[in-house]
Amino acid sequence: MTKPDLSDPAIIERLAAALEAAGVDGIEITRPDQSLLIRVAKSANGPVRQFSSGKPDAAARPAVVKSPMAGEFWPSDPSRSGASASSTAGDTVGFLRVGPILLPIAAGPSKRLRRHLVEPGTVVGFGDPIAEFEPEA
Amino acid sequence: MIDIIHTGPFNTVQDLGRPGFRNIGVTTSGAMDPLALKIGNSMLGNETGAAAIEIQIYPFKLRFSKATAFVVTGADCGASLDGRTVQPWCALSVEAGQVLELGQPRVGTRAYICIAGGIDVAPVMGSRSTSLRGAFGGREGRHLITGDTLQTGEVSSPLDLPATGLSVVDPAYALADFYPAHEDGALVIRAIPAGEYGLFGTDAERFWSQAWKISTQSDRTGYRLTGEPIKPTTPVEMRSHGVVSGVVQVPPSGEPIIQMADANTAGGYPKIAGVIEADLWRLGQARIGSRLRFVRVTHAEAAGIERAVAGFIDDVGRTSRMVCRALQTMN
Amino acid sequence: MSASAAKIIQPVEAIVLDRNGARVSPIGSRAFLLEATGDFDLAAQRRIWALSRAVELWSETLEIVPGMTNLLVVLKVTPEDPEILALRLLEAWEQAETIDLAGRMIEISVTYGGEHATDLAALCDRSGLSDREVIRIHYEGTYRVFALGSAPGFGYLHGLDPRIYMPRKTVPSLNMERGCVTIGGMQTGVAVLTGPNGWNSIGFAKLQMFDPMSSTPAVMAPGDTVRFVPASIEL
Repeated sequence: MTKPDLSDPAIIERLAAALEAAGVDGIEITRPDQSLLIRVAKSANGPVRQFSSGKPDAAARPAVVKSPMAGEFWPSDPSRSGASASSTAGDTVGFLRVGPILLPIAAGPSKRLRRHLVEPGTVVGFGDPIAEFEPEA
Repeated sequence: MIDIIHTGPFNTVQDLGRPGFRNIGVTTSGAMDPLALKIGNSMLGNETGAAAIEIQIYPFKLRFSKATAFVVTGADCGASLDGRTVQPWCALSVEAGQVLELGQPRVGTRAYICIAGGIDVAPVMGSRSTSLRGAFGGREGRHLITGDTLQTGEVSSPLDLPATGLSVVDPAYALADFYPAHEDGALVIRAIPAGEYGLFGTDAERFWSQAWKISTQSDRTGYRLTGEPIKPTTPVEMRSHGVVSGVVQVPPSGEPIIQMADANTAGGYPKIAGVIEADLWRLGQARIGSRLRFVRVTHAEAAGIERAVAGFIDDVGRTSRMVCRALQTMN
Repeated sequence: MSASAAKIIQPVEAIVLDRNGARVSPIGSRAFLLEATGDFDLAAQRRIWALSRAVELWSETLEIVPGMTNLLVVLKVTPEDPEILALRLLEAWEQAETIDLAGRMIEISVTYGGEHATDLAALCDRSGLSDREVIRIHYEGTYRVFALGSAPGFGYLHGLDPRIYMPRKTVPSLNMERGCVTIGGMQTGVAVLTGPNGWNSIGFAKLQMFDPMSSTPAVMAPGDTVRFVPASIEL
C-alpha cells in the first residue's frame, strides 16, 4: 500500500473536514519524506483552515512547542506585569497556569520565537501546539 | 548543605516563629512575611513552617553543595542561578556546586530562600527562628556571616520538579479581592481599634486619615511611623501587659510604633489599634521611607481575609504536587 | 450577672467591654486583653492566675500571657464575633476564684552599690533617704513574681516598699548590663539582657535568669517568692 501524498489538496481537504467533524483544532503529521500541519480556527464565518505541507526540509520546518498538560496559556506571567518577563524570554515561551501554579514552558531549541499559536489566556490540552520557533541553524 | 559565599548583616534563619513563650518573656520572632515562607515551602513539598533564610540586606550569594531544590519568594530581587535569571517565586532543581545570587529588590524588601527539607539548625524551644535579641535559635543565635555552612533537612515526600521549574502567581494578584491596591501611593493596612483608642479623642480620626511614613528607625522589632502626632487627651499610666506583633502603640512623642516579629512581649504605652493578622505579611514587605494608611475593619472582615489566605496557601501546596505528578505521568 | 449588664464603651469606635472590675479590649484580630481595673495588688493577681488556668484550656487558645493584673489571650484564628469572646472572658473572670501558686523561694545574691548602681544617687534624691537606707529597704522586702515578660525570663516583682518607688527614666540607659538589680515604678526586677533599659539600677546580681536550652528556660515563674540577699554593699 502506498502512502498518501500529504501535499495533495484533496487529501488535505478530506483531513480538514474530518478534523472539523471531530471538533479537533488541528493535526500535525510528520514522516521521513513529508510533513503536514493543519489548524482549524473558528471565525464568524465558520471554520477557517490553515495548513502547510511539504517535503521535510529540516532547515525550514518550524519547531512546534506543545503543551505538556492541560492549563491556561500565558505568554508572560499574568500576575507580575513587567516584573522580569523579558529576562528569561530566551529560555521559556510562556506559562501554563493551573490554578495558582504557573508552569514555565521551555522554548524551542533555536530560542527564536516565530509566533504563538494560541491567544493569551486560552485553555489548552495536553499536546496542543502552543508556539512555533525558527528551526535550528 | 549550603555555603554562604556573601552576606550583609541582619540576614537570619527564620521559620514561623516561637509561639507559646511570651509568658516567659520570649519574643516569637519568625518570618516577617509568613505568607512568602509558607508558599515557598508549599512549592517544595516542605511543611509550611520549615525554616528558610530571610534576606533583608543585599546582595546575597550562596552555593549549593549538594543537589536539591529551592525557591526564592517574597521580594523580587532579580535572583540568578549561575548567572542565569530565575523567575520570581520559581522553584527549581539544582546540582551540587550551583551558585544562587540575590540582587537589590525591585519590589518588596524581604526575600526568603526556601530549600527542600528546610534549613536544619537545632530547634530551640520548638523553633529554628533566630532570636537576635535573646541570642539563641537559628545559626548560633546570630545573623548569618560569610563562610557559614547550613545543613538542610529531608523532605518526606519530595516533588519531582519539571526542568523549567514551577512558579506561582503573585499572591497579591491571586488575592486581589482581599487586598486593596495602594491609595495615593500609600499601602493600605487594615487595623482594629484597640483598648486606649477612646483616649485619643479627636486625634483618633487623624490616625486613620493621614498617610504615615515608615521611618528609618524601623526593623524586625518594630516600625516607627512619622507624621502629624496624635496624643491622648489625658496621660495614662498603664500596667505592663502582653502584646502581639501588629500592635500600634503611641509613645509620648505621638508618633505610633507598630511592633513586628521581634517585638517585645510586654508593653505599657497606650495602644490605639492593632493590625490584623492577615496584613502583617504586607507590612513585612513595606519599605523604609514608604507610606501607609490605616483602614478600620471588623473582626468578621479580618476573619474572611484570613480564610482566603489560608485557602490560597492550601491550593498552592495541593496544585504544585498535582502538576508535578501529572507531568511525570504524561511525559 | 447577665450579658446585658455589660457596659459598652464607644460602641462604634472600639470593642471595649467593661464590667465587674475587668475590661476586655482587642489587640489586632486574634488577641484580647483582659485588665483587672481594681487595685494593683496580690489579690487581683491571684485571680489573674486562676483565669489564666481556665483560659489556657480553651480549644481556641494559642497562647496566654499573664501580665500585671491582666491577661492577654492569643487565639489560633480570628473570631467572627469579638463580643462573644469578650463576654466569655468576662464570665471566666467572674468565676475565677483566687488561687495562690505554690511558688519556689528564690534567693538572689546582690552586690549593692558599686559601678552598676548608676541610679542609686537619683533614687536617694527622690526619696530623701540615704543610700544605705534605700538598700536596706530593698533587701528587707519579700517579693512575689507576678508575671514574666518584656525580655526572656524577666520577672516583674511585686512588693516594693512605696518609700523607694521610682518612675522609669524618660531617657533609658543605652547599655545597661544583664544582672543589674533595678526598680521601675512600683516594681523591681533583675535585668536579663544587656541593652537599653528604662529602669533604675541600684546593684548587680550574677544569677543567670534564663537558659534557652533548658526544659524550663526561665528561672522564675509566676507565684515564686524572691528575696534579695546583700552579698556586699559598695558605697
